Amino acid sequence: MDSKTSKANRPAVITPRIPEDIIDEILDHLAADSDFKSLRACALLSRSWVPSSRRHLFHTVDLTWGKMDRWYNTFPVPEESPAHHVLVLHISNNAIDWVPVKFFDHAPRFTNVRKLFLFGGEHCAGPRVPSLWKLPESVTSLAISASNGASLVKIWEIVAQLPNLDDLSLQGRFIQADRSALLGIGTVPRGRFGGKLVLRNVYGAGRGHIEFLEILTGSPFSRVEIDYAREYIPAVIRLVEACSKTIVKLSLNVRYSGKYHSSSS
Amino acid sequence: MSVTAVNTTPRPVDSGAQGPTLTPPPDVGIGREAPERSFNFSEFPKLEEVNISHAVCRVGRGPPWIPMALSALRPTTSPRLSSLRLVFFGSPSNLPRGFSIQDMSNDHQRIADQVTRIEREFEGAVNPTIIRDPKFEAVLNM
Repeated sequence: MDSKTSKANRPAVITPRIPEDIIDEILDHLAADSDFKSLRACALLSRSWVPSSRRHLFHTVDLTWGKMDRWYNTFPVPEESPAHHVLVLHISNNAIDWVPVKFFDHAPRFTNVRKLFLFGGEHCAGPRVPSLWKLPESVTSLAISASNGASLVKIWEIVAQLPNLDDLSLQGRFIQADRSALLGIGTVPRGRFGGKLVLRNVYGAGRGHIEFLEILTGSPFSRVEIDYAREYIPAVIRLVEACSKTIVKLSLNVRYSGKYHSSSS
Repeated sequence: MSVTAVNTTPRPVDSGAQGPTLTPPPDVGIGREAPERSFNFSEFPKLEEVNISHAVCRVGRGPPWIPMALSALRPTTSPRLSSLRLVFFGSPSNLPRGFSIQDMSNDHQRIADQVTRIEREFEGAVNPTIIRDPKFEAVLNM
């Protein structure tokens, strides 16, 4: 009896516990200082710190096709992967290999991506986002860079998957698309397109550019940065005037096309 | 690219520059770089910043659409405008047939006139800048 009483009267051992919001605050500071080494250490220190650490560690992810291998080997169970923490996703295909099939189970888990960057490598025919990979609808900003040519149809297929798109940036060489191919996907962009439009160093698709500009015409962009050969200026003017009520910043760089060089020399 | 800032102090102002919105000047035959229409900036109420860079090599004209666009920039219709920057890069080498230094010079005079008008009408709220490639500047001053 005595022993029971003494146990009951014994003060409870209180494990010191730092409130979660304080932990988050500390981890936020580490992330602000880009101290990823400490963030990784925090993730290993306590199971309860893992989600907050991962939120910062996987904020931005750069996936080449080779790195996709590592992703699904590190996170064999897609449901337990930190893909939902990824807000900025870079996908570059400077490797020749195709997307690993196993990655298809992981791709739908990137549900919160806001900014998506697609880079086409030097030896590839444009950004290789496979048709089987449904892109996250959360994307509000899309940037595509194609150094060795990308089909405008392919680009438009990607754009058509993203209903919340505000910003669109294209750079590089694009391959001709005829109007019927583009019309097949739809003439009305699903995105909101209320943000920034950047068309920089875009070349190679001939009249396809005009078709592309015409499809974008009517979207309420607030910032427009366009670098184009001068024969497209009338189409650019139509596009810009169509968002005249919303546009805040306009930057135009007018250069010359190869066509004009050859005909004038 | 080597460029130099150019003093935008007004040359003798063409009275037409202060008048209504410009109409397209006649085409000199080079044609393709001269669209029939330009931006109607009077319809851009939220406009804060305008940057235009334009290549000048192989061109026989101004280009005309730029002074047309500038002529519609007014404080009443673009009250938020704070920045205007024009860059002309390259130099008029390998000039095409039909090229006329006089035409080009006139077009650039129209641009300078519009920039002067904008600076004056916006009463210092807009700080316009024109930057020209020195080689191009030399041609204009020939």
